[in-house]
Amino acid sequence: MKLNRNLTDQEILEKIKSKSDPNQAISQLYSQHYGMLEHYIIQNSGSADDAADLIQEAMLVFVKLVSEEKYRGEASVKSFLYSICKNLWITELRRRKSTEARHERYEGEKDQLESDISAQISKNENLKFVMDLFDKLGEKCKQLLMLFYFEELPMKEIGEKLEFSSEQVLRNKKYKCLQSLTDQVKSSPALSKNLQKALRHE
Amino acid sequence: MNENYSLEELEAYLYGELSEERKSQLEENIKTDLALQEELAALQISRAAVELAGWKSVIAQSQKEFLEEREETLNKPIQIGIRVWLGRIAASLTLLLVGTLAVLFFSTSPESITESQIGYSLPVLRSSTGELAALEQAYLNGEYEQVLELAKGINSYEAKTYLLIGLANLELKNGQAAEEFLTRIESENQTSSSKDFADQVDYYLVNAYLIQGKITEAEERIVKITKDQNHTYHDNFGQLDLLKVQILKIKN
Repeated sequence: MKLNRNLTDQEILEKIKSKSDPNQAISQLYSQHYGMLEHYIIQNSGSADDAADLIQEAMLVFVKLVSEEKYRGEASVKSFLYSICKNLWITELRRRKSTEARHERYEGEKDQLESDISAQISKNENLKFVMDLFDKLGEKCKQLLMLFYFEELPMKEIGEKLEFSSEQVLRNKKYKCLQSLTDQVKSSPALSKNLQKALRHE
Repeated sequence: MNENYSLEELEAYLYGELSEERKSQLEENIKTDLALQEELAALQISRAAVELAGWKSVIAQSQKEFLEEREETLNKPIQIGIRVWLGRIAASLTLLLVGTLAVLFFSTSPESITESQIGYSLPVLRSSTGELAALEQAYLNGEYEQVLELAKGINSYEAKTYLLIGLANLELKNGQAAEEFLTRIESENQTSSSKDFADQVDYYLVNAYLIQGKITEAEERIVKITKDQNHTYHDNFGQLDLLKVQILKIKN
């Protein structure tokens, strides 16, 4: 993991939003903030393994909030990541039947940015469920959808990479893969319930 | 799949790429068609999940690399320990050597070569009588000025007399006089082909020369003593003394 130079907070946000060299942005977040985040978890009854899991989760929440422009650098990246981690860890402690008092005290301190964090953490729970469904798709489907929706490559390039005979065949395959995923989403009772709640804006 | 809209159309709607007419129609249907709403929501979350899966892969890879690199950094001192420690030992030894040489350089003086040498104890001077006996007694009493005074009253000097006068001068730090009387023994020995007090002369001349700053002459005597295994004072000088002589030469 070699970095040419340190990016500024704003450059990191730009790289995440534009997905240009996302590895560099994420690598720098790790090298600059992992120690601080890990220290927080360990100081609050967590282990190094808890920290590793939680920080990965925090990074996912971070990129999602940045991508959706819910975070534009109002606070420093460091304090924003710290807030996400704190939020996630409190949620995790609640799961582990930690004291309600701590949670209530924390709830009272929330500001708008932290509300966005909480909301994103909750959304990510659903997304994680769908990601698990995505993981169960065939390798070709996963590659295709990833190249299209994450790497945002043009169809022509994807076709060459995955050796499709024509763009139409690729297009059909893509919709087939996507359809397979959405069908699984709809047939998942827990997820379907959450989606309906979301549609009703509950 | 929705009967009225293909996935492709629904996706085009989400991307804002659907024709105005079809878009209005779809939006009208959304209001009442729960299945269509669900279809759109499922499509949205699926796309978001695929994108997030991409990020998850980037994040997992970065985390893996970061933790491996950190582990490697933590283990580095152990892995390269031998080389590092050898380097440190070499550096310490070099520092120690430089320090020692510096101390040696600044602490070396003519006295530093002879101060640890044996005292000026006379060889057994038994059977002396008269004037010489008085000279010996004065020397043994540490009355060196008296030795020189008594010597003036002696008409005929023998090797012992020269030695006592030479040593008394040495004690009084009269290097030149000490050299003069000690070398007289050598001259007398050459004339009589004897070796009276030859080793003592070598040994005490080192000091006499050093007092006068005659470093080269002192060096010659030390080399002579150290080269001769049978010399009485062979063990009284070593390489360190020769090194000190070299330092004195530099300092002078």
